[in-house]
Amino acid sequence: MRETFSEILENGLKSFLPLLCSFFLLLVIYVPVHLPLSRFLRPDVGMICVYFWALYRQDLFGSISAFLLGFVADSLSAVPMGLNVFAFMFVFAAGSTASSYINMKPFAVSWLGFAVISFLAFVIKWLLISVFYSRFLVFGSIFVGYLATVCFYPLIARLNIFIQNRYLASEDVVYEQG
Amino acid sequence: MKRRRVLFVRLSQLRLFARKFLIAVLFVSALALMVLSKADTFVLEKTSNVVLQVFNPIIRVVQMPAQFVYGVYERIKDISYVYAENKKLRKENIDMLLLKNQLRTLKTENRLLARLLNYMPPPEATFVTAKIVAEEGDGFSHSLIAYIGDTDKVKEGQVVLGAESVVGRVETVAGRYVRVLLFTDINSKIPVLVERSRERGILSGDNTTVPKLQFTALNADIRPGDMLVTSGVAGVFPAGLPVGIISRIGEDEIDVETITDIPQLEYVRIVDYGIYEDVVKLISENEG
Repeated sequence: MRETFSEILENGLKSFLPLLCSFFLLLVIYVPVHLPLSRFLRPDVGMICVYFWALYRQDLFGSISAFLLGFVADSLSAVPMGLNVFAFMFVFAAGSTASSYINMKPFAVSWLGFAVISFLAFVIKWLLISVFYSRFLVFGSIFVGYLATVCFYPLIARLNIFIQNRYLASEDVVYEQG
Repeated sequence: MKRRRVLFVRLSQLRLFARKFLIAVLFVSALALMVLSKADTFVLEKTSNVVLQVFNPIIRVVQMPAQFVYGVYERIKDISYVYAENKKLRKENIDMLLLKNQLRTLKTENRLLARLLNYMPPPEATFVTAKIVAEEGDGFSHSLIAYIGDTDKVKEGQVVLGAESVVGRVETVAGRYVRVLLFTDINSKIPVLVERSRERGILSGDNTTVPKLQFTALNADIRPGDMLVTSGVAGVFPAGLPVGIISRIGEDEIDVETITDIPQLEYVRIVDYGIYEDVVKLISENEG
């Protein structure tokens, strides 16, 4: 049976949905909220999205998507170009490798996996930027950012789970949180 | 019977190899981007500007509901403070009137003295007010993105002021948006002097909320509470703009507290003193 134009369009959009949602969430985090310390408690939403989609939907969110998301994150911030790209690529590679172990396990396992992988990613970012500037950055404020990212994981993952189950799931696969 | 050995590669194996190869290529590309970024290439800057121009309007749209909620919160907060604020403003108004009279006298005196010395005053500064549409301030970088509209007066290197003091300088101009590098960022180095004792130093950001005062003399007369102003050295910032207040003098470092509450900023003023362009022109003429 031949697909109609609207079906082709719908399928095309669906295949880009993880990347589009990740872009959207990435932009939301840059919105000024005018609260004390809010600038330091911003989670690295891009990292959460890359990990989540690498874990559950590598077919729709590949390494190029992780690269593009990192490139946009680098362009929007004042960090050296390539820093977020490298970190996101690391999270993608680690997430997709861990996928077979973590997939279909309780949510806490994927959260723990994220805590470990994102910690390594933050350390890599810290080392790379320290090499770039030829001086070590204060790790304390970076660690606060890491903690904020890990704490926000359930919220962002829940949003992604909603998108997955509502728009992308095949009838027999439904991801649950809890 | 002799067994035949058949070598074959399955399509799935080939696909797996291609995926791994792509990941490796993208890792190398990320490192290459960092190297290019260090070299400050024009192509990379242009690409980054295009991304800024494409994504910032989306941030502005996303910002609207958050701005609305914040506006309502601010209005409720303002109502509760209105009486105390009014009393404070009345007192400030009386002080301001006295200062205004003093200023008028000093201006006249200054004009007369300048005429006596045949002094040529610098051109008046012009400024553009820009709305902040995006902010970031984690351990890796500190910057803002502001909307400047259709003006072509904003150039890279111009000074950015908050309500009370310097907050940074224009790093990139991308169409209707500018990226402001905050003075708390690790890339920011501002030549400053202590207003009271005229001791010189460099205010250096380190991606925390507390930038450090460096390169001061060992026996420098610096105390907590001293105001730091720009020294005007290096030509990016004109002299005399307030930057911060000394908050702590440690054994190895001097902490500086910011005057402007950066997270509370909604608008910034981008000021053109005409100094930076003159300095760049002078340097290029000398190099030429």
